[in-house]
Parts: sequence; structure tokens; C-alpha cells
Amino acid sequence: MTDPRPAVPARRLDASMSLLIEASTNPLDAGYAEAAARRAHPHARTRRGPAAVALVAVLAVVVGLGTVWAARELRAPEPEVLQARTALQSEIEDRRDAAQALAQRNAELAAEVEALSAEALAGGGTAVLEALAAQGAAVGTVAVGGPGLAVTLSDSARAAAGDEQFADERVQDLDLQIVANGLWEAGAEAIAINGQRLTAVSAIRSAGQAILVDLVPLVGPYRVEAVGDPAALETGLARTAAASHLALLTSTYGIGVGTSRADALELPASPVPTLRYATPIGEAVVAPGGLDVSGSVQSPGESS
Amino acid sequence: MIAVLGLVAGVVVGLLIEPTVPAWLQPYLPIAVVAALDALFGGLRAHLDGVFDDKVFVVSFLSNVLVAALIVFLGDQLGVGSQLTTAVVVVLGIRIFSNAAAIRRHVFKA
Repeated sequence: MTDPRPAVPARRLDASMSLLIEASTNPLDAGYAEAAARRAHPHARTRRGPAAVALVAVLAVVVGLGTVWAARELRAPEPEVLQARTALQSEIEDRRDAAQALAQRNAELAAEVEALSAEALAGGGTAVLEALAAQGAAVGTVAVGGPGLAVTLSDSARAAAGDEQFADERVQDLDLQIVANGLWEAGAEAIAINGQRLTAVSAIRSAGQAILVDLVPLVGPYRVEAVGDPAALETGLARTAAASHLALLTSTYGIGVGTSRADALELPASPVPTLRYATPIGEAVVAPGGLDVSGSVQSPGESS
Repeated sequence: MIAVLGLVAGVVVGLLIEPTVPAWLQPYLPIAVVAALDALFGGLRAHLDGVFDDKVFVVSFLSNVLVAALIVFLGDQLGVGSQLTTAVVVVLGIRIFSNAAAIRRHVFKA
């Protein structure tokens, strides 16, 4: 067996990895070698024109500037902040979803309780049911609907644009309290603010810039809906202190106030209140606090 | 020499002026910095080899950065952005490393 070729130089052991070899043994840009060869050429122009020199200088400045900017941008602790914010955001979303699921479950259970109590009370006659419905409407545990009055309050245009300078032109919890109290005074049968039903134990408060009704944050514009005789409510409200307060809000703070009669308002029920005391009918029991609670909430089973 | 002076001037100006890099450029910054480092080491090695050339340096610098960013951009569009980023970093990393080795041989003769 004859080899026509002369003895080949020893084959490199790593010859199969030509790509890596090329990358690691010849990293210098071929352009440098070519430029050097051109300069070495006897007829080469050794001096470049001033325009070319200026261009190179400008490009070099741009390159240095860009690199420094990029490096500074990358050194900023943005990723950690962003990471923490993303983590917090996802946690907030998770918790909100969980809270929504629980609220929905709560509503389902409340509807079930409602159905069961109606069923259990069926034997007690319509009088009991009617009394229960009337009391529920007054307490706020039963959704009500009907004609009424709607008062709308909205932040002034400047405050709504997010200008901190005009932060006091926002609607505040006090404004909603005064309107709600004015509506109660004018004879409202039920009130809800942005779909949050007010009960005897509701609180209208603020936390930071948000207004909370029963710990549920609301966003403007705020719509206070009251069920009752619209005409009576409107005239009644005009006689209360709320009217002058609303006028002050409009004139001094630029807060938008609108009052409109509505033919059909739908006020949702407030979440079922916590049952704290329950007494069998017919037995007067004195609670630990000394209050006579015989008229307090009765459990359906015992009252039938 | 012009290129080096310009580079220094650019770095100084960049340090003095607060940079605000637009958000759409953010993904390309790391790769651009790595490409710039590669060109920088290549230029230094060429200088030590005695074949440094202003024009070649600036052009290779700019084209490295642009090509690297373009590859990453293409990768993002094709859905393989992180893989192509890795590929670019590996190739440029090898080049930087061997250029640094050549510089070391020049400086320390070892």
C-alpha cells in the first residue's frame, strides 16, 4: 500500500474542533493585518485626509460614550428593584385572586343561608318573612332596588390629572360621610357608595389617598346612591348641612358634584354581618356587657 | 492615536453626562458592552503587535457592537434570543480571552 503523498505533518489531536481552534488561535481582526500590509506597500498613502481623521475621531467619541452609557446603565441596581417589584406584584395579584375567590364563596354561602332560612321560615307565614325582609333592607343584609337619588362627586380636573400640588382638590372621606349622613337625614331607606352598601356599622375612612368603605378601597368618581322618594330626598338633602358643604366643594375646590333622580337603583346587599349574639325567642338574656340583646339577630332555626 | 484620544474623550463625557438609555435598547446593552470589550482588547493587542490602525479599530468596534445587537435582535424575533445571546457571548468571550493571553505574552514575555 503506497501513499502518494509525502509524509504529512503530525495531525493535531484537536483537529476535529477547527471552529474552536480558529476562534482561540486567530482572534485578531484580519483588518489590522491588512491595514499593516497596505501601509507597508510602497505606493500606499500613508496620511489620511483631515476628513477621514475627523470621522475616526468622532466615531471614537461616539463609541466611548455609548460604551460608558451602556456600562453605567447596566451597573444601576435596576434588576434587583425590578425583581422585588415583580415578586411583590405577583404576590399582590395572588392575594387579590384569593380574596376574590373567598368573597365569591362568601356570597354563595350567604345566598345558601338566605335560601335555607326562607325555606325554614316558610311555615311561619308571610308575616315573618316580610318582617325579615324589611329588617334586612334596613340593616343592609338584603339587596334593595327602587327609585331614589344619586349624588356623584368627582375630583377636580387638576387633581385627577395627578398633580400633587392640587391634592386637596380630591374628594375626601369626610365629604362622603357628610353626603351619606345628609341622605340618611333626608329619609333615605338604603345607601350605597360605588356599589358598597352602607349599614349601621359601616365606616367611611381614608387610607393614604384611597377612600375605604368598609375596608374596600374605592376609586373616583364616587356615586352615592340612596333609595327613597326622589323628590323628598332631593328637597330633604337641600335642607341639610350637606347641601352647603357640597356648594363649598364646588366653589372652593372645583370638585364636581352632580345630583340626579333615578327611577330604578339597584343596591347590593352588604356582606353578611358576623353573628355575635343569638338568643332563643321569648327569653330575655342579658349579654356580658349588660346590654339587653333579646332583640338582636335571631338564628333562623330557633325562630321558626 | 486619534481613536484613543476620541475614546477617552467619549468616556469622560459619558461619565459626566447622566445617561438615559431608552427601554427598547436595554436588552442589547450587555451584548454591546461585551462586543465593545472584544474590540478594545483586539485594538490593544494590535497596538502591541505594532499593527494598530485607527480606522480598523473604530470600524471593528462599531461593527462588532452592531452585529452583536443585530444577532440578539434577530434571536428575539425568532424566539431564541437567550440562546443566540449565549452564542455571541461565548464567541466574544473566547476572543477576549485569547486576545488577553496575547497581550499577556507581550507584556510579561511569558
